Amino acid sequence: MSVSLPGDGQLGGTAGENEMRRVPPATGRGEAVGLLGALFVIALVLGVRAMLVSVPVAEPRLQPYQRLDVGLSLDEQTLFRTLLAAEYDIIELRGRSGFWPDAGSLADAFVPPFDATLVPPALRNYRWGAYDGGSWVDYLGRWPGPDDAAQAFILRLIDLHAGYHPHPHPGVDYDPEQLVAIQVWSHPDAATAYPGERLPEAGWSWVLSADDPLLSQQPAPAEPAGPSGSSPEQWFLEMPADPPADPPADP
Amino acid sequence: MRRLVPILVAVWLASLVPSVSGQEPDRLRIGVTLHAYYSWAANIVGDAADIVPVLPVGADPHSYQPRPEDVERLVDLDILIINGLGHDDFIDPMLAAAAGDTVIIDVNARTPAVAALGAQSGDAVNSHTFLSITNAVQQVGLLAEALGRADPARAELYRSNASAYVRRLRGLLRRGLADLETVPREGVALAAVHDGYGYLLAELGLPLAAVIQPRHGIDPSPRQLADTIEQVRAAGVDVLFVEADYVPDFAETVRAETGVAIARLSHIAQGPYTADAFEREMAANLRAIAAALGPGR
Repeated sequence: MSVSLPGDGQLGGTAGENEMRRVPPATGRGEAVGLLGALFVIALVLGVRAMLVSVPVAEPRLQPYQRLDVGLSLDEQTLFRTLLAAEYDIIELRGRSGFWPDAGSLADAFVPPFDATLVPPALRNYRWGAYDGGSWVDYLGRWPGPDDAAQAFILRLIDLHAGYHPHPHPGVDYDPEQLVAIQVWSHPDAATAYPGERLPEAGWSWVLSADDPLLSQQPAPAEPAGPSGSSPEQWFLEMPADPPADPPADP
Repeated sequence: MRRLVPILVAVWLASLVPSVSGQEPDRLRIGVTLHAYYSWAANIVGDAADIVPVLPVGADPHSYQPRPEDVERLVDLDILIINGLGHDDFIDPMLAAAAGDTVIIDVNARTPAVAALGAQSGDAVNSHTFLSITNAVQQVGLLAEALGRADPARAELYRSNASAYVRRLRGLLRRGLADLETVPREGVALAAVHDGYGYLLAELGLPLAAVIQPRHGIDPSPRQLADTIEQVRAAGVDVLFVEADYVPDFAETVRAETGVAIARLSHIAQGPYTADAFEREMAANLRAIAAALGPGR
């Protein structure tokens, strides 16, 4: 394909000026290369920025006796939240009387799940009892009758300002002004008896949500049992030699 | 008369000076980032403190861009109540710009959050913990304790007010559960336009079969509308919970195309900041849920 330059043979130019010149068709290769280069640079910059600003997702540091709430059924997750929400009522009632309130007092005070009218129907069969350990209290919820799907739950509150803390220790990183530590434990046998202070040894699991600050504060879990590794049992060796006797059940 | 003038002037001047003996202790200025937190804080402190919303009325927390005058409001706050899970991320640059010594209360510090839709465990969490009566009860307790620490002279008042408020909130929950007593739940598939309502529905014992369209706070496009209709059909949804603030045509079109029952729920993030907003809108949500599942569905 040839292209006539403007003025060719019309303005009386010289032979050299008027000769036909071949101009290659525009392929756009230069522009395309430039565009691709620009896109590459932009992608590179965005990638570097993403690497700089992204926060790696930390895997929860679960101890052998801990589990995440996502493993619970939806109703059990509701029970988990409901138990945690009872904290301030229990503290207030204890502040008034000087004693941990029993389950009946909490039901009378309109506190779920002890008042079963404030939980979904699937959670109303739990029977709650309190076990006063002095510096801590356990509220055990058992499911009467056979139900393979149901689990037992314990709500444990620990007075952080008291001298003795039940095992496992509630931790050293709590806010010093915080009055109590609160824990929820589950057991696969819904009708299991009250185990006393030592919940992990009796097969109970401490339920935590993945965003619980405790999971980022506590040390990494022990390695599986082995010649040089520690085992879950090693945790129990840290327990006090003579823990107080199991408190009597609060009717 | 000449003797009376100085006396009258002295009496007038004295009237301008506040009575020292009757002066109340310093009032806290408490900032809040969400409507629910305004209601909770107002019910805890009553008339004993000033509550200052950070967001102007009508602003959407998801798209809010702070203005200089908004940052100014933070400067003289004693306390700021925040969500801290991503629902009020706009506050971080504002706090940095204000550079004050405001005490921050993260109401979610002790609330278990569930993972956001599509997020991995430990990753982004569902920040709508305030759309739940159970969470509200726990967070009102946390707030009362924290505000009492900041204002010890009124700590007992705050505790007492919080107890009365919590009792009313539990009354709402009891009524909501009672209204659902006779409603058949088996085989009824529920879906919502975003997962924020999951907390409330769970405490009523109502599982969500699907979350159709997790974005909210924006008007759905025609493509999103078509996707929603397709997903409602595919999941066999019987009741779809949509936001009260959604454009009416959206819900009506979905209903007409699929036959699904529509229930409108409040996100408690619009309108004026009032002490009763949380109770009022949560009561309306509970009524809407019971009506959507009831015999007239």
